[in-house]
Amino acid sequence: MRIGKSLSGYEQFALQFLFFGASAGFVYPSLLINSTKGAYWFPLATWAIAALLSCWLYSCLLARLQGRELVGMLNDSLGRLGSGLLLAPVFLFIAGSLTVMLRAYSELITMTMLPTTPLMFLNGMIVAAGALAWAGALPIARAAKVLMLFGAIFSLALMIAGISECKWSLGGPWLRTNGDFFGNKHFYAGSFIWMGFVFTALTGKYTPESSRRYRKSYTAAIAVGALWSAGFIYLPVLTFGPELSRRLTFPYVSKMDSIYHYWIVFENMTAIFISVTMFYVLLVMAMKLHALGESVKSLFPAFKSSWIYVVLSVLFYAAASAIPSWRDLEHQVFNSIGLRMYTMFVFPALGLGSLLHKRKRMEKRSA
Amino acid sequence: MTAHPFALLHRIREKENTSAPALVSLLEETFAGMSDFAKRPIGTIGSQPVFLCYLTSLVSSQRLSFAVEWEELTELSTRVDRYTGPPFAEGSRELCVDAICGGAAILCLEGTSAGLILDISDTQHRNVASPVTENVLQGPLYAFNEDLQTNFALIRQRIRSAKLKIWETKIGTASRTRTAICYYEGAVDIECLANVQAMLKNIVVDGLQDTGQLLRLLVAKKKMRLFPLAVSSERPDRAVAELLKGKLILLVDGSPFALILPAVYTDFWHSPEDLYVNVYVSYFLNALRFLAMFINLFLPAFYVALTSVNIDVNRLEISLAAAASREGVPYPVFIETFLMLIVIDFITEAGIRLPKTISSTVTMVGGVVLGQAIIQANIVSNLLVIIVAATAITNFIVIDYQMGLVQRVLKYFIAAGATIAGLLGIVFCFTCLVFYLSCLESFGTPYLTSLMRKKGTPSP
Repeated sequence: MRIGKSLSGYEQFALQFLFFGASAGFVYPSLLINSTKGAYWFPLATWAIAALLSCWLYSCLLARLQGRELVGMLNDSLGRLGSGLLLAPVFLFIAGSLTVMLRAYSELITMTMLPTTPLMFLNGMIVAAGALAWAGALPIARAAKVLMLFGAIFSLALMIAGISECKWSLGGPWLRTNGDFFGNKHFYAGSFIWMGFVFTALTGKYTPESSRRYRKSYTAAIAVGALWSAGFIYLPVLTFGPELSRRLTFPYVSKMDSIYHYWIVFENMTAIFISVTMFYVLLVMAMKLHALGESVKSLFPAFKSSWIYVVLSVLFYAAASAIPSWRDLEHQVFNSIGLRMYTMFVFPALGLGSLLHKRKRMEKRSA
Repeated sequence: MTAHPFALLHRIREKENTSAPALVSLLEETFAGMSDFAKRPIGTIGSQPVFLCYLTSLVSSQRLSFAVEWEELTELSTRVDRYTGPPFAEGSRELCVDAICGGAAILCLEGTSAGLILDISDTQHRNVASPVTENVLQGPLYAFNEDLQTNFALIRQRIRSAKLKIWETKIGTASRTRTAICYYEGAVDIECLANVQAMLKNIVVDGLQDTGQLLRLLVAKKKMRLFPLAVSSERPDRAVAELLKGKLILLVDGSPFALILPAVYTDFWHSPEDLYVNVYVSYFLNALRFLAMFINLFLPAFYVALTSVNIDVNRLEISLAAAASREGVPYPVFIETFLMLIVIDFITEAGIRLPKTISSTVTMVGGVVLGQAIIQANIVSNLLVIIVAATAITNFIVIDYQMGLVQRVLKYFIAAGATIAGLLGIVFCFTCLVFYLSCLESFGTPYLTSLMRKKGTPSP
């Protein structure tokens, strides 16, 4: 029986890979292209390094859990109020990111494939994610391995199909940068694609060994994800040029629209891309819901798991349906930059500090 | 050494409690109204007559001959000496009733409350024959039959090791069906074995007829169990190969199928033949089966999606060709598709249930004549007939019969998804299917265990 065991390195890699697939193909290329006039790989590499730093912080925090869950441990060391305050921005970030992901994907479907289907109906896809989230972390990990297999094959095939129409001269400057992206809000807004490891940190029990595995697998996933994201950014730039790409809301989706080969049976590659993205989106939504649901369960053990997931699914369905327009969704991406920075760097540092403080206090008391 | 039966009968007479009711009359009372119950006097001990009680339908007439095919003047001890079979056992009323129901005969003195149990049972079963549902061109050509002892022998002949263990119990308050777990010590997961043993002990049912019923009883507590959680096989070679991998084999007396558990999703796609052919050919055949699975599940759904919801996804030429083939068809695509899928399932079911001599005619009439007529009548498009035919053929590639049945059901589910949301509906249904499979466990083992084999485990 594997119930109760922690995720393997490959499963964590698959989850992070799917996280990139779910979020890097839509708004992200536009954000990154608009963040700099220099080489695009600089901001990309900068975020990859920042993500590695955040991942390292989380792994240091997880190594001190001694076989316990993060939220439960924080609850014990800081009390319910203290841990609640520390975790509130993280919960807010997860809730926001889940709502944005659901609504953004539904919007994209209505924009490209099913223009007459109501958004309220499409948002209902959260039911499948909610059911998987309720089933637990191991079913999520198993599903992730299968979906990564299918998703990666299709996504890679689409990328390869798109390469033939690229003009390499349009990708320049390849090396020059003046660091202008550091002062651009688009650069910070694009942070959401690098945070897959946060969700698994909030669920499951960790030991020093499993936290080492966590760091290794996410380091590998971030390296692969950076290359993957580079594909999402450079393919439209090499096809349309930087100027036109800057004006496009979904550069990669537009790139998919431009693919034409006489030997490809399908004509509308956008439909294929959007359909394949569903593999990623549903699983990542399940992962986010599970992280939130398990955290709530750790803080309020008396609550029944099934009800937590039902209530969360209904809440996010309502929230995603309540967003008035696409522009409001874009604002949400920019408005939550602070929450994301807190979740990536401040929360693990504070958590680490609180656990170290508790340990010192215990040592003093025992001395 | 076993005591002489005659001496045992004497001992029973000597220690007899006179107040206890006589066994012969109790047996007569218990088996009253049963036309196959026989009470035959076969001699005397002193002045007391000795009876042999049995059910004529369950005993072997050949093994009964020691008692009945002798002249009346022959000494009883001489007759009893001619008995060949397992050693005698002494039993009271309950044991004797159970033994008679199991095919034994009871030798008892008039007036005594106990008797001697003589195992002269004869179970009716087929001879060992070729497998019916798991045909191979390369490999052993015999299958399990309905006799549990024969099935044990077929397994034992392939594993000549003391590590092969057999644990047995009886299930069914009325049928008292012998049910056995075979496992290979050292390879088996002890926790899984203990769980299954406990589950078997806890089954309460009147009668057990087949391993399929046993599987239903084992997983009765699990809701939404669409997929089979154990492989059903009639091939001893396959059962033995799985035993050596550490799996459990469940055998039921009266069933020619063995249950192999725990089973993961990919187990249902391996043919026993895979072990006997070139490894690369085996990989190719596995790939072919998975391709067939996807075609079977998704082809009708793709037809619905690409001709009614996502018309722009296809090349214009293909879309025009599809539209031309539907010219004159009065129904929407999904009704046309569901109609044809149901018709082809009718034909499949009729082909399976009918006698072999008629089934080929039905398949011919259903497949060719009906197909041609339905196109000419403009009820469905000719493109759909091709699609439905391909779907039906790919369903027969599924190795496991139960998995094939699940596939037949699931294609409707995915076609319904395609009707509602086109390509996205297909992907959504497929993802839901993956989610469902990832939640399943077969007796403690995740159903979606990795496709890749871990190092150190036996190769396919």
